[in-house]
Amino acid sequence: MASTTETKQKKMLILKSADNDEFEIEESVGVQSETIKNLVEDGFTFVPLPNVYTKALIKIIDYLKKHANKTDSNDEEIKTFDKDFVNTTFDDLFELVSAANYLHISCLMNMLCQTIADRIKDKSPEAVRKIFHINCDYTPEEEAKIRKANAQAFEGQFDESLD
Amino acid sequence: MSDYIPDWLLPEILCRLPVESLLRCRCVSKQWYSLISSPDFISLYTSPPAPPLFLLRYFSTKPKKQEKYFVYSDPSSKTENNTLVKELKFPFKTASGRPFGVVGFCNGLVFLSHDTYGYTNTFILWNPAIRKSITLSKPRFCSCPNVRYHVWLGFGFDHKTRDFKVVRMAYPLGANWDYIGPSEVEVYKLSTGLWKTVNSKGFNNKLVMNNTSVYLNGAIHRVSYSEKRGEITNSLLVFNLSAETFSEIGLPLVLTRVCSGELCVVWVMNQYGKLESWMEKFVVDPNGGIENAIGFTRNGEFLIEPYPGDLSSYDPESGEFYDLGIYGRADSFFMSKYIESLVLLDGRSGAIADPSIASESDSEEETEYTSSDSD
Repeated sequence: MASTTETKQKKMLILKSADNDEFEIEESVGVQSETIKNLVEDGFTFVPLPNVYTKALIKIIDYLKKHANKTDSNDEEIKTFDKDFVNTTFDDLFELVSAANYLHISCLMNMLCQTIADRIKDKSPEAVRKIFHINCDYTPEEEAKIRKANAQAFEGQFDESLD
Repeated sequence: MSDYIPDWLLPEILCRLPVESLLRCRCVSKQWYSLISSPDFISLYTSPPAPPLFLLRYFSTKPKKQEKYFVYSDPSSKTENNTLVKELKFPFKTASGRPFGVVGFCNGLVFLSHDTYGYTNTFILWNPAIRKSITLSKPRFCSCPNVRYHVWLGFGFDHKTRDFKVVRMAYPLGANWDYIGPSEVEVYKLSTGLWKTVNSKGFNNKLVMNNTSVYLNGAIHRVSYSEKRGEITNSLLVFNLSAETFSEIGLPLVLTRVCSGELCVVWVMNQYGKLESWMEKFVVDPNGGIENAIGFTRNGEFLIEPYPGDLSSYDPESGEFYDLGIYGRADSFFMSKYIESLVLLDGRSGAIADPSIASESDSEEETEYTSSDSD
């Protein structure tokens, strides 16, 4: 049995992004995504991804390739890769997390959500609003009331930067 | 909602933030406020896995009589020290200035009581991380001039219904302060804010005085004893918080007859509920007893009260004592693993919030309990 699988040609898949770019990847790399895995199990080799844009898909394919070759010895290498992977703008992170969710890649989802949380935890509410593109819908009086009710959470200086 | 972030994503990110950040984030927008304050979010939230912490409480007597609550780091390695992380401001005080009893700490809530004989009925659930608290409604079986009770309490979390519960066992006392039974058992649920009488079947033992209840595996545990033909047998009384039933766990044979002694011997039950898995771990100071056992840190140090009011740490490996330089009233030391939660945020847990206390703790003033002390 072993010899037949070794000599057999690697199964390939084609992923098509929302902007109609096509990418060929090994099936074993692609099935780390639950969404792709389900389609492969139903016999598909051509996978259209109408919710994932090319820019995010390129990064995610990189991620899947790196993590498909996980062994005991390249643990440090993967950690470094992951650190570089999330070192990007908030808008990129939001796009990646949406794509990771659509593709059902839970380890990537966890990593991206944790990164976003870690980066906003010391920020001021004003900075958080700008990062999430939210307009404040409180009146100044309402906002002052909430601040007063949780005064201890507003003691000290907060990070106003947007990166 | 911004177009940038889909609706499902926000809770995924927010549940990974620490409590202080979440309190600040309620200021971001009305949507963020209602999400963070929603009962679903509150009940599912537990503070992110940060370095482990423990809570140490005692009642200081000098220079001022004061409740002290400190949070320390709790490293697992012996080479790292336990460092002070923060002090929690205690917002209550009793009319007499006497300490509260700490019944337990569970999922971010401290349960305080000021009631041993069923007269004051002062019970408080306090979330120090968000500085919110509620006082519990009055239980059903309270002492009056004709009936006196001796009261024992336990506090924990029912994982099945995801609800905090308090169990209160009231023993009626006779003219000579002896137990005249049968006991009355009530359970308080935070979700309803009400006490309910439960069947005390299986609860025939008497509980040992000056002994705290321990919450573990969804149940409250307490040392108890039964008396048959003048012979005393000790065991652990177990109250299952989901089933609301009593059972017993046996103690090692040598401990079933012990009433008091000079030795402090630490036993460990390696497999929960398995009588044969009890193992003698170590003996503290064979030359004399200790006043109280307080708890263990993760690096294996044993915190004890060797003399009334003095806190020391004992290293079972070297057999050495270290005076920690922390002094308080005798029997006032309490320690627990510490985590933070949002429970009680805006009193939305379904419990009856006492508006006077909520506003007092918001303005960071001490809330005074004027009910008279009877213990």
